[in-house]
Amino acid sequence: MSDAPESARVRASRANARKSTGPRSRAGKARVGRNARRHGLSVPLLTDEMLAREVEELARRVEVSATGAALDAEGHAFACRIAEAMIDLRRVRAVKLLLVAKLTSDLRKAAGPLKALARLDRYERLALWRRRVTVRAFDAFAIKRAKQS
Amino acid sequence: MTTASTLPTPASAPLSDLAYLGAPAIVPGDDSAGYDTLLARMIADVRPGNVMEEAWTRDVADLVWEAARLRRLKAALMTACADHGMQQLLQSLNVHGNTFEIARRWAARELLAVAEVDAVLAGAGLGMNHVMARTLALRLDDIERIDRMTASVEVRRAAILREIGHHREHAPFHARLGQAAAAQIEHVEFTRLATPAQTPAQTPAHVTEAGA
Repeated sequence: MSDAPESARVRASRANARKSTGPRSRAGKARVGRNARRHGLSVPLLTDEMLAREVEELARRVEVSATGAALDAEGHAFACRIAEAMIDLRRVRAVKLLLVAKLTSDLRKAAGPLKALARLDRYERLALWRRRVTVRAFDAFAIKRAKQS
Repeated sequence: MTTASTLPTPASAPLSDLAYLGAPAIVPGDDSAGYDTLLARMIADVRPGNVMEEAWTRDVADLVWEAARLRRLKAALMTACADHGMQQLLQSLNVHGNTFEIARRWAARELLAVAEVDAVLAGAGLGMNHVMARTLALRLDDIERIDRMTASVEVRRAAILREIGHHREHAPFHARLGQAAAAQIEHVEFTRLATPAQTPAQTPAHVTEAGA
């Protein structure tokens, strides 16, 4: 960081930013209130009962397929995190496929779907990262258990 | 070029059938037989041993498919918008008349319009490359976005391949043993449940291997 004094431009910009406190009209507040529900991908999986059950089933499948047996609570927790990431990824890709279908249906109006796909990329990257990290944690746990036994 | 019809047909139950991995990554207009073949070949090469490896295998197949689709899309976008480029080029050449209409008819391959446009371009020493260059300039944002998406898909595919390698390298011996045991159990149950008329071809590959 530079120690140089703030320029007038930076000061003006900060003053303007402080004035921006979000929408003031009722319609504006209602619109931003729906921001997180555009595609529902920010909503945690476990708030949906059906998906939570699916996480549980997939987690069991993960641990049995990887180690040959159901694991204890600690191992199951690792498997649940893998299952959550896998289902999250599936949700993102389902939305992505809809956008790709829209894109291919009319290439002359490609700009809209392409922008939406670029925004969606962040969610896919995050889900992939979570799956990678959780699989590594799961593998490390399985190795530790194998050494103990 | 290798076509889907010359590739081996899928032999095992495709991973696309496994609900937890979601719907196959195909959209209307895609060659679904080609996708199935690609997936079957991936499965045959990687031979996924557990749920995570199944997911990775499916991911790699989907990403290969997606990258190819994006490349096709880029080419199709240029073709679909070529009339925009043509219109701009005709305008820059001060062509009389409604250049929008001429370009539209040219794109529809109307013989008179094609001849007219060819004559104008030839007179100016220009060709289709110039039309496509204009089109590219007009749709540069979209093309760049597709290029970034393609690059991102390729990075992801490489990362997943590394992940499979890392997982297999570090998979503990007891896990492999567990898998072998599970396969043996499956083999026993399969034998018990199988009908006498069952042919060897119907036996899943991993069961045959475990039993050998």
